[in-house]
Amino acid sequence: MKGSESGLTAKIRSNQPQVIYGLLLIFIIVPILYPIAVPMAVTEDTKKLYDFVEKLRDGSLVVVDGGVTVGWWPEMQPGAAAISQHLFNRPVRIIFIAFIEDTSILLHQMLTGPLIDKKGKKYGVDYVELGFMAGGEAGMAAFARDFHAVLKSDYYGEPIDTLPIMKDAVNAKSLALWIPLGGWEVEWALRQVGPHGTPIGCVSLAGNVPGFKPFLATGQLVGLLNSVKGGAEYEILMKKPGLGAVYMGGISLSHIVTIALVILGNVIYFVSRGKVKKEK
Amino acid sequence: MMSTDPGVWIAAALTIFVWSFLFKENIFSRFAEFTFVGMMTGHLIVMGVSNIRSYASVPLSRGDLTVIVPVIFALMLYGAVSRRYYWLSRWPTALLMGTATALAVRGFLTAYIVSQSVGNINAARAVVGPDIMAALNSGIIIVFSICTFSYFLFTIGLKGAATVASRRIARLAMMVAFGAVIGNTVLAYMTMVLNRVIFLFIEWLGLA
Repeated sequence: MKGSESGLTAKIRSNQPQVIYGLLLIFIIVPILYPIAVPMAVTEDTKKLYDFVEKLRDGSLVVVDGGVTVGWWPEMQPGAAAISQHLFNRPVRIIFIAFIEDTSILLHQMLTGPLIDKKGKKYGVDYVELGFMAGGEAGMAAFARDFHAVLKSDYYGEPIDTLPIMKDAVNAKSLALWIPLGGWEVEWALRQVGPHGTPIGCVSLAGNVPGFKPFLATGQLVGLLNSVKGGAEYEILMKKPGLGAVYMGGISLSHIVTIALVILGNVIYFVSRGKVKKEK
Repeated sequence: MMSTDPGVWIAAALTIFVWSFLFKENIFSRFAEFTFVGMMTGHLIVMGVSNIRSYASVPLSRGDLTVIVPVIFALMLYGAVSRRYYWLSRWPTALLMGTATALAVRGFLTAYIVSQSVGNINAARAVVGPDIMAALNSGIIIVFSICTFSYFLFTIGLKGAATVASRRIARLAMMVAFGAVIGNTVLAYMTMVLNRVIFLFIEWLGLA
């Protein structure tokens, strides 16, 4: 079929990848250099999670559980930072833990970096980093059943029994909210933490979001942030535009280009198919 | 202002090396790829050794004998590297698989089967409720769920107008779901490109 094509359609088809990469890069770079305000509506899923955090009682314990490898962190970072900041703004206690090797370092970098203002909260009293917990889903199940039985020390190697925050944190039932960050991590939490009756709200990788929608409908998830977009929406609710807002300009423009390319691809396909039929 | 941090320069160079693959595979893209693989392997080894320390050697040195059985099972896993002692690794492997399956099934039943069935029953209630949009939404959920489930029943024949219609609806439902996944996946990959662009233009070059 390609042999019978001529002119513009054949030219575009033969240079497809470079043309697409070039176009996308231009439409991604321009809004970074010249930021544009993108109108954005806050979805109900994001609002639900925000409201749930707002309504947490003083002193409640919340687990933020990181579960992505370093390659997927760009997707998680805006949402993770926004919701962590919201938790630091509220009078609640936060436990950070990772069930994937890379995430303990990524969470530590986020907490010690400029994205998070800890609002004077004290380590070990108001928040703690438990670091990496091995075992994957089995590890999460064991941790949810008894925090102290399976984890002896925090990220810095301090025994967790000496930390005041961990005196009230016994198992998943002690928690007011469990926030998994990732894709399969959310499924693990639904399977292993949900049965304890702990509310779960997540920051999800974009590709997994359609699969998690049924869990929102049944209340198994109290809210959901959809990747970077969810992070940007959460920043809007907090009235503090941050990393998510920076991303959204480029994402919106690049999606317009992608839609245009899908339409163009289909037009070229039908035009060239018509020509081949005529030649036959 | 352009960054003076050597770490940022190395990261920027590696990013450009990886992106050079888009033009053509070359020695620079391969160098970046191998560096990443090497670093991740190193990181995993460090984390593995750290796990052995915190979950095995430290408790053992403190006299905690409860970890002896898991340690023996872990050592038996290394039998896989020897032809003579390969059989030893089967026991811990079977234990791991059994535990993982049991955990997944237990959670799956409550999270996926029971709660989702209850969700469908609640959706059925909404069909006869006063809110027209909620009723329509619930109707679609119920019809799509039933048709998609029946699509994967391979034991019944494909004859009959109702079966054919059900399969068509199921295909439509699945195509909609796949479309949503693809749309979100594009969002994911654009985010990654953006992350690197932001790094190059803001953190490295200091242009914005």
